[in-house]
Amino acid sequence: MNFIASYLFVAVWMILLVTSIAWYGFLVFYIGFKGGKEILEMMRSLDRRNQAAGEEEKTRS
Amino acid sequence: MTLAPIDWIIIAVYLAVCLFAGLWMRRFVRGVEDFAVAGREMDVNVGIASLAATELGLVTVMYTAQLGYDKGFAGTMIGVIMALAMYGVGRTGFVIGPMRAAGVMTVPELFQKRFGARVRWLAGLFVVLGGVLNMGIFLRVGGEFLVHTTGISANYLEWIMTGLLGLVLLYTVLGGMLSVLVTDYLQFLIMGLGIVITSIWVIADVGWTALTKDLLAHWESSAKAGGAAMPHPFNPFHPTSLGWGYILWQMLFQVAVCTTWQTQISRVLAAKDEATAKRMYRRSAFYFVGRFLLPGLWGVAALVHFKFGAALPPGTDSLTAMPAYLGQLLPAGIIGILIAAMLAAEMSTDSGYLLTWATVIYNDLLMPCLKRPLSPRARLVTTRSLVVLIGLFLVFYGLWYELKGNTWDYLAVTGNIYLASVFTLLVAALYWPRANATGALAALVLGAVGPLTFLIVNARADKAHQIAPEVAGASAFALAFLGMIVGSLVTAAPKPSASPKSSP
Repeated sequence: MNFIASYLFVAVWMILLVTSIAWYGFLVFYIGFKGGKEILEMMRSLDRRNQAAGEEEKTRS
Repeated sequence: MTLAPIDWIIIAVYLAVCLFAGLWMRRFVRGVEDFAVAGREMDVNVGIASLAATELGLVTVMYTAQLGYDKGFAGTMIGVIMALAMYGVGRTGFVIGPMRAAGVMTVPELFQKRFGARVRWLAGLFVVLGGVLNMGIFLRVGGEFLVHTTGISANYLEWIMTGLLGLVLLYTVLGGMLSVLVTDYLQFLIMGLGIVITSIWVIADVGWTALTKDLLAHWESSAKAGGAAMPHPFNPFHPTSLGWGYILWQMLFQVAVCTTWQTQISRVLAAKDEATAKRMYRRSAFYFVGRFLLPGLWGVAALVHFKFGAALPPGTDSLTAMPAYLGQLLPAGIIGILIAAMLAAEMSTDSGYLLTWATVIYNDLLMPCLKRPLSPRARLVTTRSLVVLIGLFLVFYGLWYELKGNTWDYLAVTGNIYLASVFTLLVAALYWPRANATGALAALVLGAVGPLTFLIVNARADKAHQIAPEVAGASAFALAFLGMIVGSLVTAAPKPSASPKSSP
């Protein structure tokens, strides 16, 4: 019984290990692409907001 | 092992790109909201990168490898529990949903709406105390990795880590969360690359079949020999391994971490909306399996490589066996990528933690004490100064604190100083209408008793009389819940208008 349980756990850890390596590898490319786009979009959005705030300040003064 | 020129070039290019990107984001910071929560502009994939990079530090790599070395693959079960907790919280929105909807900047800020200013201030104090003590060992443990992987003299450890912290301080102080998000993104990429390459290299070196056979054979022979048996290397439920008590404590602890740990919650609060925050949790959940399992594999491989401790190099122990092994294993070029990856892990964690604790000190400890609110410029200067002060504390605390026992247990128990009590407060504030300020104060004080007793007793007592971490941790949760229930029920019920779910 102990023998079977041990080898069952070995199989579980092996599956988790292979999946983790594959998942980390996939995320490097996926997040690299999607996250890069989001950062550019965030910078554009912050730029627009800051420009609008600057113009508002100018109008007030 | 000394580094080859190619390794130095990889490390220098990585550091220069990070510094440039961090400093570039400074131009977008206009106020504390930008500085602390990136103007709440963060989308899901940047959130995943930032959350994963912050929560996977060099200290994480070290303690998970130590768990692997001490307890085999069974020790990395904590990562599986954490992934399940993350997915469950992301699926249901438990705590994080209403918290994001409340529009607060920190966890204690939410308590003011429900329990009043006193509870907010005390909770802020506990959050900072637990968080900064927890972070106190990051630099030294991270430095140990660099010393043992590269073969650099230990005399330089303090200088290298102080220099690295200085670099992190520079971009965090100037660009706040915006710099942290962009540098976390870059650090996530280099970290992922380094971890994948190193893990494949390690498996190729030891071989999966040989590794499992050696571990099982050694465990069986140590069990037959009697005495202090080696923990079962694969079965975490086995009495010689973590055991049910420890696993049950971890289940509660990891749910508390996902919903309460301020560095994780700051990503929830920086998210565009509630749905983005929940999606970020669900999608990053499985990452936390690898966070424990992959460095755990390196630790297990080090155990087998050093013949179960018999061939450990002088001056090496269970914590430093993994870096010593990788220093011997990896060739020039690959070791440069690994060190750049581990520097990335250290920097992303340091920047995220520095910013988070500084924001709590400003938002929940200083601001409630001020008679008049500070000007936006003064607020920004104050928060930036706090980041520098925490950095200075880290350098000095990290240099003189000598860690005894298992690194993971130290981190779990110091984190528990506030996790148990603040988790109780959060759950009660959001889901129990009868909870009141007296119950909250009782939960805060009682929740801290267990972990503080653990720290004090274990620093003085010999090994036979030390308190088990699961006993200290579980008693903290039990005492905090007891304090909240008894304190609330024996005093008057709160007025029905007090609801934390509405935005100010």
